[in-house]
Amino acid sequence: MRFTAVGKRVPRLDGPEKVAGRTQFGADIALPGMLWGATLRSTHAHARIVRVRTDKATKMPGVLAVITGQAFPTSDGEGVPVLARDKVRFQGEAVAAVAAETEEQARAAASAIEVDYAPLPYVADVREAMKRGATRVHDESEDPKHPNIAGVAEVKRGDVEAAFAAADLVFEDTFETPWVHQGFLEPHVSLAAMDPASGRLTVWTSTQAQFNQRADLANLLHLPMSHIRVIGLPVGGAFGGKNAVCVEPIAAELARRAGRPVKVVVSRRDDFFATRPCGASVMELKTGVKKDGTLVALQARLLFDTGGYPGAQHGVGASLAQGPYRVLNMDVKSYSVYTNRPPAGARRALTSPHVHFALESQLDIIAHALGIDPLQIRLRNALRKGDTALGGMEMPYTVAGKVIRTAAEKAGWQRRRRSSGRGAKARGFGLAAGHWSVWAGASSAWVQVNEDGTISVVTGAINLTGTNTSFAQIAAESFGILVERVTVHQGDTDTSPRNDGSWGSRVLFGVGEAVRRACEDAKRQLAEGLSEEMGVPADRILVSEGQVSVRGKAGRSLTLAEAASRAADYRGAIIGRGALSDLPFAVAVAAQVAEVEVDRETGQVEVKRLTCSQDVGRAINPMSVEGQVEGAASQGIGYGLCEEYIYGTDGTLLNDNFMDFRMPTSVDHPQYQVALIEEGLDGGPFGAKGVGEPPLVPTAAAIANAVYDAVGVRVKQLPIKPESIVRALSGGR
Amino acid sequence: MTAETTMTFRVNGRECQVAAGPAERLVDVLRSRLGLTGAKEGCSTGQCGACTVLLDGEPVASCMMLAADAEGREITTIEGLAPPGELHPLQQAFLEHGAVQCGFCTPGMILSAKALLDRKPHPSDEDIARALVGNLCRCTGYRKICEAIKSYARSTRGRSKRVRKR
Repeated sequence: MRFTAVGKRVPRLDGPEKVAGRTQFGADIALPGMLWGATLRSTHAHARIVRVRTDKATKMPGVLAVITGQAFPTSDGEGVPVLARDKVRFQGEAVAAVAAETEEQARAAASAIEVDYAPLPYVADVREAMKRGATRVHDESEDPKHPNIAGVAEVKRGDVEAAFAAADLVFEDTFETPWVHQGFLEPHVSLAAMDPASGRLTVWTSTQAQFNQRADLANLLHLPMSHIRVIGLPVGGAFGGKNAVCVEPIAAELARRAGRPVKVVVSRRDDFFATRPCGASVMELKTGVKKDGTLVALQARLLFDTGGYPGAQHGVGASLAQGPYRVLNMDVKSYSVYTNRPPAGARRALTSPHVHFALESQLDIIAHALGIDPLQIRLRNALRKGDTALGGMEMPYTVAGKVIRTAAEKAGWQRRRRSSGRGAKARGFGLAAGHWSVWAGASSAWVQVNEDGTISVVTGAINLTGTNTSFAQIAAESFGILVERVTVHQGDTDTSPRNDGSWGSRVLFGVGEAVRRACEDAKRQLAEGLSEEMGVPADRILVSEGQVSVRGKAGRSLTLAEAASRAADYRGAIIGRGALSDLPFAVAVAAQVAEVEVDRETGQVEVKRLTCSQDVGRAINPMSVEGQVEGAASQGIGYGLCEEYIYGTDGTLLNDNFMDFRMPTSVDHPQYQVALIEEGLDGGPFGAKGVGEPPLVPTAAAIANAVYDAVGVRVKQLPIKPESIVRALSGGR
Repeated sequence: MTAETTMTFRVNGRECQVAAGPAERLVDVLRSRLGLTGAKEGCSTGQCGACTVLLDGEPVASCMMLAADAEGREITTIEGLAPPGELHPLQQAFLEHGAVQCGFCTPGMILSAKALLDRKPHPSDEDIARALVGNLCRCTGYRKICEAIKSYARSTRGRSKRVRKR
């Protein structure tokens, strides 16, 4: 199939405002009479709240409203209280909030609120938290043996015991990953205003999910949903960190009480320790193999740290633990475990990077033990059509092997040369793969054909990654017009059809298909509107290449502009509708080869080259897809080498800033090679599937495997620290 | 609160008089008093670079500087890079190379690049990487940003800089 708009490298439609610095993010917006909100946060990791005194704060200059936990009797959709009520379960948990005339006044008043805490012993590690008699994070837990289990998921198939008995070799390894921040640069920010006459609340916020915000706010504020309008703003990075409600209900409640608009900007420090970062994990894997490398059994116990409240995605971890490989006998038990850490949130691909770090590292250990090429062991076991994957679904196509082979070929895997010579620096190559399942979720769009023949697309999906540009390409392709003749509008909860959040790599897949279907619907309406005038049945009228013509008859055609204005005369506006939630799931497979240089003396690891291949179904906008792949892989380099939360012995976060929480900078980026594979077509628009998350999945494991290749040191704990390498090289442990 | 005093700077080529407190940061004066919200505040500690502006042509973190210390000096913000309705070719290069994703780091990133290119019109890859080390970007992985800057530098070889219509 030849495309005219799909597959083209189109610069982001919102790019001109962004390069000009004119995009209005949340912090850039001000309303007349606006107040500032500030929060008081817990200084304890775990403590009972004995008393909160607000009288002093209430009387301070400029203060118009003060709220505490009593303001919110209900917790949010994931069970997190907006303001702590009986006790605080992590350092940074919000306890009270203030609205005042200026930001300084709000901060001063917040810190004047007096809280008497009765400190409690705290638990900071999932293994400790799983022990009998561990400190209880939630008093009401009903499981006396394991009071801190927040959730369990199990994936079982085949006969694991028999398979282990029949295996030639069995490998047991434990892997660990740290707490990390998503690293978005724009801190959380929300602005709320309640119209005193109508009682209607409007919330402007940096969120991935405006409709979910509306539902949560209705629940938290005990307002009818019809009284709430959420306006999703341009988002300065999110990566899963802006899925859930954060300061929206605080801004809203303060605005309701003060009778004036309230803006809350979260400080960087608070964003580090008090929002929803990505939780740590401990993963114990036991894997049985045949001598030829065939995987025969996988048993795993996965412990995901969910912090003080639910949020860790243990179910996703269980369903993806087999990697993109065929595993006939499997017994995976996966837990979310409470600790006195921040509530775990989503991070690009949820727990998939965790489990793939474990599995792909262990696969390398197995390959080396068996003397098999790490590429060959992966190809031997790669998922094929009909294999069971994703916790019980049937794999819809054979593509994993090709993705893995492509990464290896493009990286020169067969010609690779490990330089393990005597010099200070050793070079190594590491291969890893990963997978992710993409679900459409509630996806919808409206498409209007304007009287000048241009197309307006409206969706309620938050445009994070440039999906609006891809929607324009999809609409242009559907009508056969130039991309410049399509505008895409991100509406809010009052002005656009409902959509699920911009997460799970679902937007292009699901909403993109809704846009395509809305275009087809609009074309059908055009044909029906013109059928009488053109004197032919609607099904003989063809809309393509920006023209409306009669099938099989040359010469009788109208331009899209003529057709739209005439059809509108007969029918009113031509507005196509696309709404779905039922697309079959898509499996996105990514594979990467990391080429690293390890300094034997300092233990420093530098990623020199990262070759990434990925099945994207169809690259609607290859430039944007490459941007997703490179950005995700860069995040994976940080996860692999330098990012981690470091806590003090009192349970407080020590590195709550960008200097001490080290993310990759411009001097850390490797040479990227990206290969996009357009197979495994699904029900997405023109065969496209999700692209944003899969490329983070294999990166850390690829680096760990490359470090092993370079210097023979196997690091099973992220991040891979120089000191671990130096210690291992000097014979210590 | 200490009384406000009047400060004078040149901002984007025009002389500006602003009444501000002695403890007010440059980023606040630019964003709140002058409405120049292109400088973004990502960390308030000079570590992310999103608030970068040019002070006498050199990049500074405007969250780490008192407005009073900029008195009498020349400040360039992202809004001053091209006349309204137009883009500077460096901005155009960022756009065309996919060097922009969320756009929060972009103004600071472009200004750091501009300072480098003014000093060294044809920088090496290493020069570019070093010049951007104070500007964090979480979306792009940096490669496309470096490519955009290189491409702009190539396009100016043997030509005078021109501002192109958007």
